[in-house]
Amino acid sequence: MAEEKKLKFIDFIDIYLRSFFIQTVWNFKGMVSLGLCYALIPVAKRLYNTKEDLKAFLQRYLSFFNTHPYFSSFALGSLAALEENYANGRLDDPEQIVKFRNAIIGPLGLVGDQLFWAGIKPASILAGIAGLIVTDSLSIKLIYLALFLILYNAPHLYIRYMGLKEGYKQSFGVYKILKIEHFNFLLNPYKIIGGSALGFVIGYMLISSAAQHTSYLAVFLISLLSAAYLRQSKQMVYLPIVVPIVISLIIGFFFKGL
Amino acid sequence: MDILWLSLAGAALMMDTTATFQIMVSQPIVACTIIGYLGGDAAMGLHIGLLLQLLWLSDLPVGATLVPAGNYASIVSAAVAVELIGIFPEKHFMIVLLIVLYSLLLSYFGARMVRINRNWNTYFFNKAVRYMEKGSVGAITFINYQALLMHFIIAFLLVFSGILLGEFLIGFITRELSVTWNETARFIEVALLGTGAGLTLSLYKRNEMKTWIVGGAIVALLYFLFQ
Repeated sequence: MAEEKKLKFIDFIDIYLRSFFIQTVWNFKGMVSLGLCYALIPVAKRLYNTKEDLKAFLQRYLSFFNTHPYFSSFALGSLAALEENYANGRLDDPEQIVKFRNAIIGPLGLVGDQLFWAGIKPASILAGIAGLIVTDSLSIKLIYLALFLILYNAPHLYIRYMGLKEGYKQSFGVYKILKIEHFNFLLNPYKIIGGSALGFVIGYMLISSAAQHTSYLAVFLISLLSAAYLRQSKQMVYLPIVVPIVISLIIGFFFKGL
Repeated sequence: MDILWLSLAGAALMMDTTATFQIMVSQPIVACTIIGYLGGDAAMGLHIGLLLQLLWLSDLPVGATLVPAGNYASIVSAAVAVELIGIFPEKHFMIVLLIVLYSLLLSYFGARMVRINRNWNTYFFNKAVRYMEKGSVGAITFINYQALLMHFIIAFLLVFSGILLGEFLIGFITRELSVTWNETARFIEVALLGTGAGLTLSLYKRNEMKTWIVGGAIVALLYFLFQ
């Protein structure tokens, strides 16, 4: 009877570290498939020895694949488990691995984008900015910067770890986890942090600009409202930034000496 | 020599945007502070980073979407601002205005460079496919390192040329324009913070968020009154 081929703890450390480079070779042909392949190299090295097996392994991964970079760990964990099953004869058809890999592209991107790009990232940055605007001390500002990085990277590193662990444990079943409802325990607190921090920044700026002069308050309000209107109703990228700048210059030109 | 070191640091920070790690040290508030520190004024770097950060926050890099290269623009802008505000402190607002306009141009150009870079990455992908036939897993690792090196070189060249051009152009305009322009531009910082906050509101437009936004504003009022 052939010896059971099993991935070792060191392989998972290697995969985890390699996952930080998953988007290095982002391209329009294969998207992040080369990154996925690169991250799974420890699996190939552990499970396959012959040239044919390694060639077949690479063929399974060097075609179109895309994912959110942090949520790639779910794919990496489950694919590692499936490869292990295949190498030990518990999975007959390797095409199932390819089909599964293609099927999780959508959920990985959807949940990752919603959770991190639209949730945790803006909330962490806004919390950092709320701290930065209330103090003049550089050393305290640096503490707020460090807090921002911790606030952001704690869930980031956790998801990378949890994804690898759960993916390996669940293999085919990982798609059941990949729903935004399962990450609301992270998303909801960050939404509250983000909304409150944005309110704090707006409130603080309103009061501090009013304390300077009403003209500063007017510029702040006009900038805020015009940018919000142009971005939300017209979906413009640069004009919402340029218009407030031009208005501030016009006010600055006509109201000198204020 | 200073520009060389700043560009190397800027390129390393830019790598965090997509190519590696993504631990957010490439975000303007962090990256500009580091660039400011290396340029001799960390506080000014942080100040510029704070002004620019919110401008790019609502651009979400979802899927294959190309968004303005705000991190690149901010890194270059911070380096130029720290240098020029150090020389012309009396023209602070004017320099901030020019820096912001320059960063808008850079962010547009940077986004186009990201597209070009992604096309160049296809070369590495095709190379990996060729090695696939040989079953060489070592080659995949090597190709990844090559792509990483190419990213760094491109980032370095972008930052280096951006700083050189910015210092020349904005330095020239700053020297030529009289200090009265500084008074005209004195609202620029408050306008940028207002713009940034307005843009970021689009991320929190759901009804349930309004309570938290108002709550945050009330806390700010109380903080201001009792500080």
